[in-house]
Parts: sequence; C-alpha cells; structure tokens
Amino acid sequence: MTLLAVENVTRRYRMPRQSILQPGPVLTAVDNASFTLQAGKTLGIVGESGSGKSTLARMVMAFERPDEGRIRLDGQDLNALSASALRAVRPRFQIVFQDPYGSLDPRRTAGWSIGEPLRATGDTARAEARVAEALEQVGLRAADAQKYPHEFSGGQRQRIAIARAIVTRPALIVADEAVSALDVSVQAQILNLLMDLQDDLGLALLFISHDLSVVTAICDDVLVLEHGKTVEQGPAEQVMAAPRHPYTKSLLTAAGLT
Amino acid sequence: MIDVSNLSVNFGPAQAVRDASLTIAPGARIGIVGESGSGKSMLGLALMGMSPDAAQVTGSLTVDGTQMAGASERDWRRLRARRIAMIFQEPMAALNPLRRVGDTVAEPLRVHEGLGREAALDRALALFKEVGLPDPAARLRQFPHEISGGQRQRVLIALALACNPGLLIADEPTTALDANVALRITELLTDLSVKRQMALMFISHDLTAVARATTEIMVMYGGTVVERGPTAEVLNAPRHPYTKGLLAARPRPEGLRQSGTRRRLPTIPGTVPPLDKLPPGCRFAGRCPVELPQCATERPPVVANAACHLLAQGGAA
Amino acid sequence: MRRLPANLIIGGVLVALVVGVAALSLVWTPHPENLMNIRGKFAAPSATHWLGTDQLGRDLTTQLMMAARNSMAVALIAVLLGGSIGTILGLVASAVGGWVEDLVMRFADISFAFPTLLFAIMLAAVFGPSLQNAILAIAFINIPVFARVARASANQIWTREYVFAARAAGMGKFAISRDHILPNIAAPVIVQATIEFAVAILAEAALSYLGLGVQPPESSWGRMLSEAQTLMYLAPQLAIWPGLCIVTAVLGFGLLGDGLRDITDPRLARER
Repeated sequence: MTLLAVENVTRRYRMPRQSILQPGPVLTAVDNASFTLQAGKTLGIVGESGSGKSTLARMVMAFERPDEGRIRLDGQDLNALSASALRAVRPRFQIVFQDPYGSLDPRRTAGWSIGEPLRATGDTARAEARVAEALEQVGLRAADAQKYPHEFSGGQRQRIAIARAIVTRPALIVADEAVSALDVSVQAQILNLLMDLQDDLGLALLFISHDLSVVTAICDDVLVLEHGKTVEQGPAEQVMAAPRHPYTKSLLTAAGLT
Repeated sequence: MIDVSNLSVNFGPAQAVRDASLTIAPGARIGIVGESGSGKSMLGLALMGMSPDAAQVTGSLTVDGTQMAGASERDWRRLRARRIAMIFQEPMAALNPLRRVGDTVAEPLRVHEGLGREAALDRALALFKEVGLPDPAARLRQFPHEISGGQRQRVLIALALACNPGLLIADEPTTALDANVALRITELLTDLSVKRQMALMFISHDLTAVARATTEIMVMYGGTVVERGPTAEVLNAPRHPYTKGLLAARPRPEGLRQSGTRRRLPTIPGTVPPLDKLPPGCRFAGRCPVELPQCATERPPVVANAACHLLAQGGAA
Repeated sequence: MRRLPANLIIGGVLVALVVGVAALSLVWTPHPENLMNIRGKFAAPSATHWLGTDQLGRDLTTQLMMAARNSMAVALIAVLLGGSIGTILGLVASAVGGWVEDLVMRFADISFAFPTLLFAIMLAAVFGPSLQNAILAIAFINIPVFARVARASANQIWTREYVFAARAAGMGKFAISRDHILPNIAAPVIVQATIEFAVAILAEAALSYLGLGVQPPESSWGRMLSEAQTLMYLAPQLAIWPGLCIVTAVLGFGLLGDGLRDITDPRLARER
C-alpha cells in the first residue's frame, strides 16, 4: 500500500539580490523529485549539504509548500488541505531531527514534550499512560517524564524525540539526519531502536542522511540527490553493489564502502 | 619531538585525561580516536598548552627536549604556530569574518617572522598553492563567507602551516564537511605531513578518516588510552573490548540483511558515564561484555599496547 | 560557578537601595508627609532633619523617599503596560509574519522616531497635564522597543527544531507562541524591561520637571529639581539631593540591565 507519494515536486528559492537593479538569482533546491514509500518500509534520501534533502523533508512535513508537484499522504494532497484539516492528519506523520540538543524545548520536561502531539489534537485520554508507554518503548523509564532535557545525554534526548514522534501512533516518521550527531556506539543503539519500532509498530521511515553507510544499513530503497536533482534511485542493495551514477560512486568511495 | 608521559587533565575530582603517554617523532602521523567524553580533544589542547583555565594539568610534557609542564603562557606562545599548530572542526568559527583570508594568513608571518606586507602576502600565496586552493591569487582577497567550507578549512591549514610547524594537531578537521570534501582534506593533510616531514596528530571520531590519514593510532575511552598500535593492525584486529565494540557498532552494509530481514547492529550497552562518575579502575568497567571482578576497582595493566585485565591474563576479549 | 559581573552587583545594590527606600516610605517616613513648617525652612541637616528642610520647611528626607515611591510606581506601571503591549505585538508579528509583521514593524519604526517629551506635551495640551497622561506617554514609547526585542528573539525561536516538532505535532501558532516562544524569549524581554525602567525613571523626572508629570502635593525628584532651580544660590542642596537620587536610580537599573544581559546572553556581553 502506498503511504507517501511525492510527485514531480520542485521547490525554488529566491536568493538575496546581488545588485539593486536585478532581482536575486533563483535557486532550485529540489528539482522534479518523485518517489513513493510503502507502509512499513524505509526509504533513504542521501545527499550532501545543498542537495535539497532537508527541503524535501520540510515539504513532506508540510512546513513548506512545493512550487510544483504534489505530496500525497494516504492519497490525500497535503497542500490541498485547510489548516485545520492538516492539523487533524498531523498525528499520521511525525519527524525526528538531527540535533538532540535543539529538538527539545529546554524549559519543558520530557513528558511535556512527548505529550505535545496528544494535546495538539485534543486526544488527551490516558495521555499520561501513553507518554509512559512511549518512554518505555524507546528504552527509557516512565519516571524520566519528570526530567528536563539537560538531565539527559545526547542519545537519551534522541530517544525522547523518538518517543514524541511515536506517541500518536503515526504511519510515517521522517528522520532528518536523526543519527548524524551521535557517537558511533550511540548511533548503533538508535538505529536498532528505529528498526525495532518499525517492526513493532509497522512504521514507514523516510530516512534522510548524508551518511551512506548508515542509509544502506537501515533502508530498503535509496534515492541519491545532488544539487536538487535525483541522480540515482533504487533498492539499497542494488545501489550499493552496482552504483550507476558517478556521484553515487564518489559518495561510496568517500565513505570507505568500496 | 614531543614526549608525553603520565599526562592528566583534571577538573577537580573529574579526570578528563588520565595518565596519557605518547611520543611524537618528526613526521609521524598519529590518530587519536574516541567518542564524546573520551578526552581526545583535551589531550590535543594540553599539547598546545591551551587547557581550559579550570583544568589542572599534571605529568610530564617535553617539546624538543624542553619540559613544558607548568610552563608559562609566554613560553607556550613561543612554541605555538612555530613548533605546534592546530586546526579545528568549524572553519567558519575560526576565521575572522571581517578580514580577507589572505590577510589572516599573512598576519602570523608579519608578527613572528617580521615580514613586510607584500612579502607576507607572497608567502600566503605560496601557502594557498600548497594547500590546493583553486585560483589562489583571487582567494587572497576574498572574505570567509565568499568561499566554501572545504576551502575555508584549506585556508586554516595554510594559516597553520605559515610558520612551518613541526607538528600539526587537527581536531576533528573533517567532521563539519561533506564526505567528498572530507576525503580531500584528509588526503591533503596526509600529503602535507609526508612532503614537509611534519608530524600530524589527527583527532577524530571518524575511523575511516583516521585509517586514511595515519600510521599509528590511539583509542581513547573515558580519558584513558585503552589501545594503541599501528593503525591498520588496530582497526583490522582490535584487541581491547572497547575497540572491538566500537568497530562492530559501525554500520557496514555487507551482511546486514539475512533472509530478507535487517540484522541489528552490535552495540555497546549503556552510555558513557559523566567524567566524575567513571569507575576508578578500568574506565570501561560496567559496560564491558567480558568484565572481570577486579576491573571496576583496579587499573588495568598495559600489555602489548592494550590496557585490559583480561588480555593481561592471556585471555581474548 | 562563574563570577558575577561587576555591573550586575553594583546595579543590584543601587536598585535594592532605591526600591528599599521606596518600599520603606509606604510604612515609615522620618516625618509626616508634606508637613510644612515655614519658620523652619532651609534648616541645615540635624538629628531631626537628616538632610535639612526645603523652602516650605518640609523634611527633605521624607520628600525624597516619597518621590522615590512615586518614581518607582510610574516606571513600573509604564514599563509593564508598554512592555506587555509591545511584547504581544512582537509575538503576533513573529507568529503571523507577512504583511502583519511588516505593519507592526513599520508602526514600531514610526513611533520609535517620536520623542517622548513631545508626545507627553501633546497629550498634556489635549487632555491637560496629569500623572496619568505622563504614564501613558512613557508606556507608549516603550511599545516599539519591546515589539522589536520580542519579534527579533521570537523569530530566532521559531527556527528551533522543537518549534518545528510542535508544528508537526499539530500545534497552532497561538499555542506555540504561548508554550514555546514566550518562555524562551523571557530572558531578553526582562533584560530590556530593566533597562527601560531606567529610561522611564528619567522620563518621569523630565516630565515632572516640566510640570507634566507628578502633580502637587505629590512629591517627585523632577519637580523638586525644578523648584530648587530658582533657589540654587540660596540652597544648592535642594537640587543636589534629588539629582543624586535620579542618578542613583537610573545608573542602578541601567547597570542591572546590562549585567543581566551579560549573564543571559553571552554573545552580547562585552569582552572582559
């Protein structure tokens, strides 16, 4: 079943003007990207800085609108929804960010942050129990709900961010460089956690990363972006074993995977 | 060139580095690997005499035969740039945004070597060529925001090379860069070390980069050196249980899928304790899969370059 | 623990002194308020009149203490009023963006360029001089100051990942402003409020000096100054003491605000 369909999506930004007489140049951050993600599967979006992968993530999360193309979740065009209708479907798709220090409000307890998606939709029945359950699902203790972000390590914070993302039982999680800031041994723990949760909850993952070794370890399919253009797309094993595009090859070489 | 023995960096009761010893010969390329809190950056700063004010540094540290432990800031300043230079993770943060990069690189030449502006800029141009900056003459007049992250790191390498140091300490030099750029910076550092017979201390959590740049390696955990040796040997046949765990935890695509399901990565259980809560014996005690009763309380002996009770008893981790 | 900056300590002591005296005047003054004694005018400092008496024989210490209370009250009300409206405008501008943000900021630019005194004189001309109008004038000039600070800080917070997470959670702009933005811009807003407190004290003194602020028989440092002006050669102490009080209060709040900024926002801290 197709959960997420990105159809011919293009996003352009106007750069700051360089002369007072002419408007600033236009940067095409994402150029005609298309892919589908099946329920319960993992798609990796690989690219370096400036590849447009984060822009793509923000568009999938409906933080930004594409200039062209459509993004459908469960067949529904996200940008055709009204603001309140969009908020009503938000529990279906959540996001985990890169920076475990920036993604939690320093002034709110872990439990408060995890419960936010429940309060947002007025779905507050048994909220406390569901927060506790989410904490345990990510390998923390229910009592950790009372603590503030600074009391946790980077890896634990990322677990809290994941707990917030799964508390509404979403069908899709966008992981935007979710393990990139973590130490290798912590990264392995979080990757395993994501795989476990995916198996237990039937989550689909849109896994965005610059690190090809991480992507191929967790993803079913891979899409490689270079300067907003899709240069390669296919099953992870195939892309790894027989990359066709020179850019993909250079990434594999740089990561020490060839 | 540099001889360090039993160097410790303490913050009150917390030990960021405990009894580190190493020797850096001219032209040596040494990698220091470890995760956050391993003390690898603190060790690098101590070699520059740049430990934080709150730190107490003990042990012996000689540079060119001169004892620098407890040396004054003035003595250190005489060594910095000219004998030991350092580059950091964030090239943007290390450059003055209001100065042309050519002037930034020319400054130490004018200050330390008394060159005039023209002569210093000529030398800066030569350095820019040496570090492989494209169109070096035009780069001299550019500001940091006008060049890419990789080029900024090259500018900082040029700045570090300006006074021909005998040792370049590179603290996570590739971490903020894209993979392809990181690879080229790693290659550049290696080439410069070989061509100039300049020692290189490559501090990084990136094992791939360290494997490329260095011939010797030190693995740190909780402020201690747990294993050392030739880079290829340590990375291909690790002996210490921490090194083994760290290498195994790296996501490697091969063998991750078996019969259609994804294999989980081997992990090191738990998290690194805060510096003041590390076990007094082996720092890895409490997380180690092959722990012995004495590990938490007794410091492990160093046998054949690995600090481990089990290995010392002839066991294999 | 870092050492506290000197400006914070000195400012804190001065503010504590001024606020303490103002608070004390609510329950105790050396002499009854406004008690006149024409025969005892221009008395030199003595055990009964610590700083002497003024041209109407009132105890100078008592008058200064009452003036401190009035000054604090005016500054507090004006900064609270202007600060609240300004902060809310800034939050709304930041949350809504687009033309609303442009409108609020252009309004801030225009009112920013408008001198307080001129505005107070206008209000006095239309509605007559009164303490209330002085407070409104001071409050009004505070609105753009706080709108700017709140918007600039809020715009930064809106780019934080936890705000994106809240948006992903389905939180609306009002809830995000209330739950995340306001608590996280509190520090710069409080710092600004402390600095604006000093400005408000000075503005009140100036307006009262011109007769547009605190009205008789209530006491005010500014009015005491203007009354003492004609008596400068006869009794210079009558001008010196209220002048010193104004300097103490303005300096105290100014230093305290600077010190608070230094410890809450290391980026803006001056090199030490």
